Amino acid sequence: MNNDKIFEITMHGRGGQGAITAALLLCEIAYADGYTDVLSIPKIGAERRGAPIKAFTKLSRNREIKNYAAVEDADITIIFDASLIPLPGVADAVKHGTVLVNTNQTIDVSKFPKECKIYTVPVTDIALKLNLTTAGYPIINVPLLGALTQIKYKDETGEMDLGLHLKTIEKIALKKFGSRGHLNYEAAVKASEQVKEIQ
Amino acid sequence: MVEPKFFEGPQKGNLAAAYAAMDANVDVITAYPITPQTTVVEELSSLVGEEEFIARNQKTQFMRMESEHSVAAGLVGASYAGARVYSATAGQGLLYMTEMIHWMVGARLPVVLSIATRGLTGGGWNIWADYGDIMGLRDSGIMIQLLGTHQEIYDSILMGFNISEHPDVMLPLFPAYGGFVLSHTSKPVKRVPWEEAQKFVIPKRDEWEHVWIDSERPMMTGALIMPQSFYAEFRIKAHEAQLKAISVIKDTMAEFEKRFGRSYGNGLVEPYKADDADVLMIGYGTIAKQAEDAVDVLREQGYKAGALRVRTYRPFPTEDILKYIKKTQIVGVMDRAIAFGNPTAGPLSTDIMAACQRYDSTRNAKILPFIGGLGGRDVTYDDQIEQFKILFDLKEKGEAPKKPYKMWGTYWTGLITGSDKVPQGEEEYFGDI
Repeated sequence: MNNDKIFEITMHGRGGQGAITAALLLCEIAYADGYTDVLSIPKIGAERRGAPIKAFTKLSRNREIKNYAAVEDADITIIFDASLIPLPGVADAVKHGTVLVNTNQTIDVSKFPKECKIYTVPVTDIALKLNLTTAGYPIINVPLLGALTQIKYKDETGEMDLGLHLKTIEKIALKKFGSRGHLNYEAAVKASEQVKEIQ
Repeated sequence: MVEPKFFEGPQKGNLAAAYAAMDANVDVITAYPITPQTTVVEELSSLVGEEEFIARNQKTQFMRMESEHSVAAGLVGASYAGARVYSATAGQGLLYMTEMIHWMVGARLPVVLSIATRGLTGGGWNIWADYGDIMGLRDSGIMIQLLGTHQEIYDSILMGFNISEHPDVMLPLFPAYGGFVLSHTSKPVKRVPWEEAQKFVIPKRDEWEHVWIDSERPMMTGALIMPQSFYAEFRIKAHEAQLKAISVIKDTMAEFEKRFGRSYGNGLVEPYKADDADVLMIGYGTIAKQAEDAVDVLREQGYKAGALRVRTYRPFPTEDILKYIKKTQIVGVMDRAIAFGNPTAGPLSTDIMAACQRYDSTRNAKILPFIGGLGGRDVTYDDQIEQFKILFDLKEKGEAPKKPYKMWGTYWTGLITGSDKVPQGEEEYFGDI
């Protein structure tokens, strides 16, 4: 595993699904898990609930992150909602790496390059079942990060995981969300158990 | 001892700014929100009531104002009374403050006011990173620092009071950082422990030497200055204070490094592999930080590239910049701002070209102006490699290529290309006269 690698992660969500918060939380989790430099970039525009949005995270173990530009060729792509897949700039922007999709259905893997690893996880179902909601909307960002702890990334130097721990998610969730943190953590654990590799 | 809500970890640039102001124990904050600065004052409105600061008996006053003009007027009023003052703004908000900013300079008030820079508006709104707002005040007499990282925002505001309130200086200082690119992104930031911050920051004074508000000793200020009176001399003294600030900034940086182990060059400029470079790219803000990655990649390919980040723009660090130009002679200057009608269209490139005329050793240096990233457009690292390649072409072939897009003697990076998409300027504006 190449320790100098800077992981570049793109999150595709819809306004209100918590992708921007997820990008920031992922930074906090990675920083607590030993990454020395992390960067979260929300792509700010005219925000409104339901509109497609993007957020980026860069994680580095050794090198200082100096590149503040948006991620163009993500190592890991997280899709908060399977209905985003056919939109321009989502599946067609995936050129390599790993894809994680929130869905309880099967998805059309032909939309992604053949060499990509693809995972799915039904975090909306998990959140609704646990009653992890805000104003009736399921909270799926922390559960998706739980699933992220289990996925693998492959390149020419070999296969690796991100080295993120569920226990760290618990710690950060409790700090950020107080007593609601427990439920977030519980959902993250469930997601880590239910994530499956489909390609 | 109350556990702080935040001490170390990934943090937004705007929140780093808010914590720095609190750790500098400011007396008065006046506030009016504007994107992308909003979360600075939002956070401050909550921090003034945060247990951590209440437990320390810190008495920071937070005042909501009805406009940016009133924010700046409030800072002027509080500073006249000897208070340590801070606020933040951006873009149009800064423009609206402008009248009072000139007052701060003329009255020699040590205000620290941070800017989350953004594109200026007219004909359409732009709120993203672009230094057009702060560059518009470059000759107003304020000190301007252009920052490149989240940690640097925190550190620079903390250091800012030591520079601004220094008896030799007594001028406002505006630390500026790219809107969204630093204000809303998060990166690891570490606060200085509060007690150590108090030892580092310049001790508060009850009043300034030249102005006070005290009913026992009434004084008049803001009077009419006739042409035969001292107007010219006051202006010259403000210029002198700018020049004196150069050594104060260096000393403050050295002291900060000694205490906390972090530094940004000498406080004025931050060189990166510039000493033995064949070509040099000078810039500011995050773009200049990102250029360091391009330098590393080019060095691996055998090109001796170097970068220089201008951290303090006013006072202009003439000697510190020219020292590196003297060595390399082939220099690109990257602006993320446009100065309409100015000889190079870039504020920094024009300043550098002018400064080069001062000495024989830099007079014949080849300076190529670049402009890019306007209104928050991403400047990718591929764009920067391309810029360096133009400089290497100039070095090796004695001539710079006309691509990617050269108009009126300046290279415009990352334009939407196509003959019908961009203005068609003359490639060489400066032919022989």
